[in-house]
Amino acid sequence: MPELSGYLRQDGRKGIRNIVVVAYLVECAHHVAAEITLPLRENGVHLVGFPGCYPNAYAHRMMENISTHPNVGAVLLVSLGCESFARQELAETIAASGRPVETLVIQENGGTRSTIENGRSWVKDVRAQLDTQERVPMGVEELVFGAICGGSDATSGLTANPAIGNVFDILVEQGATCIFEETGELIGCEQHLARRCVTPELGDEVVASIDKARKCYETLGHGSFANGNAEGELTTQEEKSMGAYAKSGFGPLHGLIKPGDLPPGGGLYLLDVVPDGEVRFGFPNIVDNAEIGELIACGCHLILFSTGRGSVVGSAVSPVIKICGNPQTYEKLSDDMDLNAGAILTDNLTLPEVGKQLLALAHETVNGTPTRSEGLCHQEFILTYKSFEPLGPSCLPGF
Amino acid sequence: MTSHLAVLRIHPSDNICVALHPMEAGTEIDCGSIQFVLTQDIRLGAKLALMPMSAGATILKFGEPIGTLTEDVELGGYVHTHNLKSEYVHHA
Repeated sequence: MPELSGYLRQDGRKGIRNIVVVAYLVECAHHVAAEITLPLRENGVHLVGFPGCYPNAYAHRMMENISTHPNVGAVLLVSLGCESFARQELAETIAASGRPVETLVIQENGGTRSTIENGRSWVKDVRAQLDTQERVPMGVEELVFGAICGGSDATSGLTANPAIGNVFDILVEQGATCIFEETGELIGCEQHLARRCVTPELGDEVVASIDKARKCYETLGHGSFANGNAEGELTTQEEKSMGAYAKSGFGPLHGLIKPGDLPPGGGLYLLDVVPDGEVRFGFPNIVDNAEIGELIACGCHLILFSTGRGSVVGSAVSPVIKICGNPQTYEKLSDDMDLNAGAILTDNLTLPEVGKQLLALAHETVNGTPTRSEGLCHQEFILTYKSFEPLGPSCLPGF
Repeated sequence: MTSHLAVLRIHPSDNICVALHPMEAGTEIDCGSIQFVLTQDIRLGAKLALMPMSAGATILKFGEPIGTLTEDVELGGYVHTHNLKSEYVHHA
C-alpha cells in the first residue's frame, strides 16, 4: 500500500482535503453565500447550507458535523439575521474545534454587496493561511469511506456495486471504517444482512430499520425506485435492493448508525437514513446528494459512488469517486467517470481486478489527486428537515 | 472487446438470466444447458425466462425473490415491469 497523508485536526482526526466551507443558515442567505464562493470554488472553497427558517435538531447536528469534518479547515457562516438557526451555538462549536470561524449577518453588514465583499476578503485570508498547512502521515485505519449508488440499472448489481463490496472487504480487513446506506434499498435483503451482524440483537435492529423504511415508503406511496431504474432493466424495489446490497461486501456488519453518528471504531456500518416516528417532512431522501451529505456528516472522508444510468454529481467537503457499472454509459460519459467497472462485461476483467483499480484510485484521491467530479467543480449539497431518535442500545455492540 | 458470454445466470437457482449486451430479435442464446431464440430486441441487463412459467410464479435473481409474474411467460420471454410485480413496495 502507498503511504497516505492528511491534515491533522485538533480532535486527532485527519482530513484528506483542507476545505474552506461557506455555510448559509437559511435560504435567504443562500445567494450571498454562493456569491462569496463563486470566484474561489476552484481553490477549495465550498458552499453548504440549510434552507429552512425554522429550527430542526437534525439539521443543526448535520451542520455541526459538516463544519467540524476533518476535510474542513475553516468555516464562514452567512446568516440573514432573523432566521431561527442557532448560529452562535454553531460558531462556538466550530471555534472549540480549533478551526477559524467567522459569522456574517447580512442585516447587520449593510446588505448583499458589503457582505459578499467582507466574506470574500475573510475567505481569501483564511485560504492563504490553510495553504501553508503541511500534510502528515495517515494510516488507512484513520479513514472513513462511504458507499452509495445512484442512477442504478441492471449493471450496478453485476459490476460497480460488487467492486465496491470487494474494496470494502479489503479496507475493513485493514482497519478502516466503511459505511453503506440506505435501508430502503435493502428491502428484501433484511434476513441475509441480519445473519451478517456481529450480534443477534444488532440483527434485530437492522431488520427493524429496514421495516421502518418499508412502512415509510408505503405511507408515501413511493419507494427509492425511479423511472430511470426501469429503463435500466430493473423491475422491482427488491431487485434494485439485491444489486445495491452488493456494495456492502461479504464481511460482518459491526454497527447501525444514523446521520451524524461517528462510527466508534474500524469496521462495516449501515447508515439508517429514514427518519424515526410518524412520516413527516416528505420523502426521506429527495436525491442522492442528501444521502452523500449524511455519509459525510458521519465522518466519511471519501465517497465511492456507483452508477449505471450515469450520475455526474460530486459533493461539497468530501471527494466522490464515480464508478460506472454500465459500459455503454461509460462510453457516453467517460469524462465524468473515474472508473469503468463495466469492463467486467466487455473486456472480461475480473471483479478483483476492478477492485484493485478502485483501491488504487482511492489511495490517490486520499493523497490529493482530484476526482473527475472535483475537477469539474461538482460541489452539490442539499439538507432538508428530518427527525431522528437516538440509537438503540444494541446498535453498536462491542464499542 | 466482446465478452464470450451473452447472458449470465447469476445464481444457480435463478429462473431468469441477464443479458450482458443489447441484442436483436432472432439471436440464438445459449445459457448452459438451456437454449432459446430471442423474440424481440433487448437492452443490456434485460431479464429472460429460463423456463416457461405461469402467472403467480416467483422470479429469482441473485438466488433471491425479486417479484411475482402477473402473466404466463415462455422460455426466453422478456421479464420486466409489464409482467412482474413487487411483493414489497408498489410504485406507479
